[in-house]
Parts: sequence; C-alpha cells; structure tokens
Amino acid sequence: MSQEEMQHERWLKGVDHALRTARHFMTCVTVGFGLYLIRVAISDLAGKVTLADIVLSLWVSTRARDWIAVPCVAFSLAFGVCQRYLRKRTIRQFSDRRVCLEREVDPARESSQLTETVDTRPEDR
Amino acid sequence: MTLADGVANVLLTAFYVALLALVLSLWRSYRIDALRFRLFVLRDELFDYALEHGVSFQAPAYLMLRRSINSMLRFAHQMVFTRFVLLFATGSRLQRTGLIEHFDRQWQDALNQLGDDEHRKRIEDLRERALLEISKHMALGSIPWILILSKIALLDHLWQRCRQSLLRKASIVEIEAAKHSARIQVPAEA
Repeated sequence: MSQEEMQHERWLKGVDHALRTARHFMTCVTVGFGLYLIRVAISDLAGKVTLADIVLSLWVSTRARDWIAVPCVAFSLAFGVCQRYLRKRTIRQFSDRRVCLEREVDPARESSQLTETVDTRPEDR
Repeated sequence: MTLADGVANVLLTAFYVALLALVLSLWRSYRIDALRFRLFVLRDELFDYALEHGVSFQAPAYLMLRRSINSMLRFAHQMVFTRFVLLFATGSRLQRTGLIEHFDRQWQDALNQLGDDEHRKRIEDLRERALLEISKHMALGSIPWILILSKIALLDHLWQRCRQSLLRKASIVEIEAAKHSARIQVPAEA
C-alpha cells in the first residue's frame, strides 16, 4: 500500500469515526433535551393540573380514527416482526445444506462472513 | 382549550412521534436485509453461471467478483447516505491515490483472462448490477434526499410537459407561417 493510499484510508477512518461520534452526540442531546422538557413541564404543571384531568382529556380528545389507526399500526408492526423472524428461521434451516452442496462443487468457496441468519457479526458493527 | 387538553395533545403527539421512530428503525433494518437478499441473488447467479458454462471457480474474474459481492454483503449495514455523500466529496482524493485505476486495471486483466466474450459480458453485467444495487441503496436511503429527488423528478416532469406544450405551440406558429407565406407570394424580383 502506497503512502497516499494509507493516508486516504486513515482519512476515511477519521471521517467515519467523526460521523459515528456526531450521530451518538445528536442522539444523546435529543434524549437529554426531551428529558429536560419533561422535567420543566412537570414542575410547571405541578399544582395546576392533575393526572386524572390529563387522562380524561386524553380520553375525550382521542377520536374514533385513533382507535382504529393505532391497533392497525401495532398489528402491522407485530406482523412484520413475526414475518422477519420466520424468514430468519427459514434461512437458518436451509443455508447449511446449500453451503455444503456448493462446497462439493467449489471446495475453496468463500463466505460472506455474515451470521447463519444473515445478520452482521457483532465485531463488524 | 384547558391546560389539561394542551398536555393531552402534547402526549398524543409524542406518542405518534415515538411510533414513527419505531417504524423508521424497523424500516432501516428491512432495507439492509432487502439489499443483502438482492446481492445474494446476484452471487447465486454468478455461481450458477460459472457452473453451467464451465467458468473456472479459480478464474480471477470470478474470484474478484465473488469477493467484491461478499464484502458488499458483509458491510451492507455501513452503506448509508452519509457515506454516499462522503464518496462524492472524496472522489478526487481517491483518484489521486491511483487506487481506482489500479483496481480497474486488475479487473480488466481478470476479464481478459476469461477468453470467451460471452463470459466476459455476463460477468461484467453481474458486477454492474451489484454496483447499481449498492448505489440505489445508498442514494435512496435518506428521506430528505428522496424528497429532493422526487422534487427534481416532478420539476423535470413539469418541464417536459411545458416543453411539449411549447413545441406544439411553436409548430402551430410554424404551420401558420408556412400557410401565410404560401398565401402571400413575393414577386420574383424582390
């Protein structure tokens, strides 16, 4: 590897690191700001409004469409997650057999280095 | 609206935002899985082609392409929009290192070693498809970017319609002008 290539690799790694740090920083700032807002809201509302008022207001303000939409979304999400789990199980069941068959034809077959459920390895994350 | 109504509205909005965040996080993992699936299909196509048409599994072009698809599969989770932007920004920087030329030369040498033109075309086509999948995945991975692209597409569509309408108008003018000039004959001396 030439000097310039190494420099480029280092620069890319640096930028990757900076981006990852920036993403973590943004997440932490957002969560922190959210918590701060909740604290301010609670201290501001103390003595002025009760939890029962809020629950009642929530109950009144939710319309029929919310009662239909939210369970639909929840069901869709659960369905999607179950399908994903099923797909992973199917992959796990058939991938070994396929790899064996391919190895018979090509003994030097190279793997993608993913897990048996086609997920990223923890060390690659 | 009472104070309790205001708080209830804020809570409802927060709930919907949290739901949206959950959907987006699942969507991201789905996109990675979908990309991997498409790449696996391409890798299987390469394997089947090599098996059926007698391309050696030790041929440099086969090995290079398989390794390249394997790396794409392994690091599919890192292929995000920010990297796409970064690659564009560092394009000239990478060009200076000569890495691209070196890789291209290696790839061309590997293709030339295949001998058969049909094999060469097919393997090159598979590589292009794999690269296209990656580019599509990275370019369409950001919602703001999708919005910008759709805006551009919409503007392009509007411009095309506008252009067609202008051309139609212009052709009417052209026909009218032709008719007019046919009606008014200019004396030969003029």
